[in-house]
Amino acid sequence: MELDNELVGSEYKYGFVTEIEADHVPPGLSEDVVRLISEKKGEPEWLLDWRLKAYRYWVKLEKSEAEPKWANVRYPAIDYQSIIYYSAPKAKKDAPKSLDEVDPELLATYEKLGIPLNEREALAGVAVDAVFDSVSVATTFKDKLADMGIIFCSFSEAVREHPELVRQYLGSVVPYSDNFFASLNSAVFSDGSFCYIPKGVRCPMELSTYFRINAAQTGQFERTLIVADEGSHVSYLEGCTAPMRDENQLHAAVVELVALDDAQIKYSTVQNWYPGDKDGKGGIYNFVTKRGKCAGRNSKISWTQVETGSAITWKYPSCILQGDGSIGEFYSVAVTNNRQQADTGTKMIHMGRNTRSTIISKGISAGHGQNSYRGLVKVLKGADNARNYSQCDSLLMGSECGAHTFPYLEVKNNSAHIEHEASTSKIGEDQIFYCRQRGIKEEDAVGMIVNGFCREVFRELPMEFAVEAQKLLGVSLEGSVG
Amino acid sequence: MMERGAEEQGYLEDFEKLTARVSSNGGAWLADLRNRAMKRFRALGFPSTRDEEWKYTSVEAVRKAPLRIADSSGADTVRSPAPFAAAGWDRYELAFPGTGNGAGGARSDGVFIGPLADAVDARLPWVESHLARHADYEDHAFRALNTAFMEDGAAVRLDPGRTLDKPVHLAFPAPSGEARNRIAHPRTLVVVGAGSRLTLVETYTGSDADTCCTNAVTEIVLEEDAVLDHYRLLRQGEKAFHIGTVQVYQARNSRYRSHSVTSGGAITRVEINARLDGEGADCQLQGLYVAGGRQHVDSRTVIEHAKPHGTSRELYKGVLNDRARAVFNGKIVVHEEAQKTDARQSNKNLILSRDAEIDSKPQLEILADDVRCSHGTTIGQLEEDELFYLRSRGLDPAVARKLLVHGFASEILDGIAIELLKDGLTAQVFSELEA
Repeated sequence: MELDNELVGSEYKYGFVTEIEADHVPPGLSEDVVRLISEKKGEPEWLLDWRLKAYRYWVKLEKSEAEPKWANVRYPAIDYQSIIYYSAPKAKKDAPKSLDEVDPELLATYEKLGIPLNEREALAGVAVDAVFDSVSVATTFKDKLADMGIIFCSFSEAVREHPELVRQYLGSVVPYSDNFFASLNSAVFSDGSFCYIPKGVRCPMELSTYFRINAAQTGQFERTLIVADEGSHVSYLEGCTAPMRDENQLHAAVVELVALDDAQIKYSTVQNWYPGDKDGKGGIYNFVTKRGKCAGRNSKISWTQVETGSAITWKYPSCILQGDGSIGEFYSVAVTNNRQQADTGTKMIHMGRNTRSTIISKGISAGHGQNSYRGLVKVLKGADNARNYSQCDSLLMGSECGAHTFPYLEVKNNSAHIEHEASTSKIGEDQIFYCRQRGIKEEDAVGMIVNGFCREVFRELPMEFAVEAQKLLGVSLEGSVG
Repeated sequence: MMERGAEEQGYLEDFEKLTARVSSNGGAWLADLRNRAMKRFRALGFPSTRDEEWKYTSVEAVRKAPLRIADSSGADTVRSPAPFAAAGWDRYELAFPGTGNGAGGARSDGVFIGPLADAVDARLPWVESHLARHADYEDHAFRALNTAFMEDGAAVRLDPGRTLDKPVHLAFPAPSGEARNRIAHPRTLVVVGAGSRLTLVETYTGSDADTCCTNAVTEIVLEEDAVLDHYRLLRQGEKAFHIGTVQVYQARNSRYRSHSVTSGGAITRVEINARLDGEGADCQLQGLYVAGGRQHVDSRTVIEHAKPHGTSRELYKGVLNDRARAVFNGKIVVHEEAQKTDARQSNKNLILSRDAEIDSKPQLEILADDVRCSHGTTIGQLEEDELFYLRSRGLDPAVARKLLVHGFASEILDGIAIELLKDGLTAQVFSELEA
């Protein structure tokens, strides 16, 4: 099979740097930096205490060299003292109250990214809470949501306006002592999104946040907390692009979801951060802890992710199925091209009775990419009639890449019904031949076959995202078959 | 590395005694090999559950048991082995410890079947060129121990183009005798020449009476076009520990078929690893593990495809009862060079009681692109509708359950080509399932 090599290593399309004066703290991490971050954000005492606890725990972990090493990824040691832990777009004393007050350069950036912030109302019911580096600069549709009692705001604002909710749920799913990167995040998180859906409310639109990493050498540590109260329903989108940089940038976010009785949360991600150049120089380290707790009866949490970017992805969106009859879902497409490495998957912890989980994971490796699925399905003693179905498929494009599968199945209850399937293959020459025979160009045929391979995941995405995801996949893989 | 305590000390003393006793045997290379392996064991220490490879199997009980090597002076009596022996099938048999009874010793005409020590003493060239060259002890404490202590065991060699008329049976009763807490390190080397065919049956058996440990390593080399049918049957006593490795090296177009049946034992861990190092090699692993009581049974397989056009098929099934715990870890590795590999793996588990536990970890590591690889795992209990079907035909629940469980296990047992062995083993496994 011979393909046009012109397209090999198509350049990253979103590589530009916006010149905005940033308000930095000096590089390095110490108790003072944690205090400074907290002070800059005007946080209450209890939150500072929590950050400090996390910081002290992290120091202990770092001293005992507890930075996780088990993932199937390779990278040079990170110097945590050379990272700038806080950077906010220069505050003009008062935060912008409307778009007119927003830095025009910032708006131009969004334009390049194609976030239609200024036509947002026209944008099919998507409310965008844009996180530019670390501080939220604009939120939309707020009033409409507020009328229904939905709280959707930046994390900092939530700390100010709804401290009781934040205090109740912060760290309830991912405690500060959870893992190395979660501890780091808990100590220095700058901002993120907070969402609360009150009892019985069905959120009328997809909630969306675009994260963007800017300002060289800035780790970004967002924290997202979504709470769906009894009988409520919310769909949340997260999409990412980042400018081209040479230094590796660390991104250690934490996402916590809580679903109470009969509540449903759907969390969709399209991740397209800078993956580094063809030789693996630069790119984002994406070390993220995402976890949802189905705390209530018949609650449901569904993760959908399309991971095409980042030099290294280390991410396991998980579900704790605590409530009886609760449901966890994980749909994932992960693409690694050039020198990208991904170690991603999920954990489904079955605690309640009649809990169900589904895992569909599609890994695509091209170039020198290394793609690992790592998943855990755990059925605890009391989880009668737990049901799990897992399917992990890998597609290999090119002879230099690798696909790995590490599923762990731990079952302590005999009424459980667990099925796991995995397969690895390449695009069949007969499939290509069939398409060519019908006059379809080779690269189009590859695109069609890859899209078909990922279909089960894409159809879980909301409409706008599905379109974007398909395009992204095409861009990420262009010219990688041959 | 963990602190070496008194537990490891006993092994050091035993090692000194052993080297004093066997120093003259086998030449410098063997003494050197033992020393290197012992050094490696001292560096490694016993694995803990913090090691990923031992995550689900704790060998603390083995470490803490004051195990000493069985005295080879003959003071230790050989326990009556095995229901397997009673099956009456036709075979060449070697029983250990001791020399082979019956067909033992060197045989003429390009065939050697005898104790490993004899093969070493006779300085047969294939022994030195293969022994400990395949079963890597660098990162495996038990293999290192076995390599340091190997004494009893068999050597089997078929020159190119030979076919034996009968299977070779190697019988290893668990070490026991007047003193409790014995450990034995049986070591077997099997080299099947180009185009030769062999059927090999290894049985490890023991009584329920005392704590003992068998730490076995079998190395198998299949030259071009060689075919080996390998049966590894394990029926240990209630208090027995069994750690075993089968390491297979496969040259071009060779075929290896493994049937592993495991039952009994307090802690059992069997690793079957095959390296397909020639084009077109074929590897088939079938396994059945049956556990009840508080038994812990760990089955691990690594199939390494190093050259193109290899095929592998793997099916492991488990039946768990009472408070038993089973671990399955099957790994398929496809190297960059091994294009056109076709590998499939399946693990199926039946849990019959509320308190049994299963940890399954199938694994694929694929570095070549033109391959077809798949694995599947299922864990569950008997299907309600299957039971209902049988009951609707007038079978009482107990019979219906029995029928379904037997059917589940038979898929593996039916693959045994030696009829009398199959019948004997099937009867034995079924009776255990009912116990």
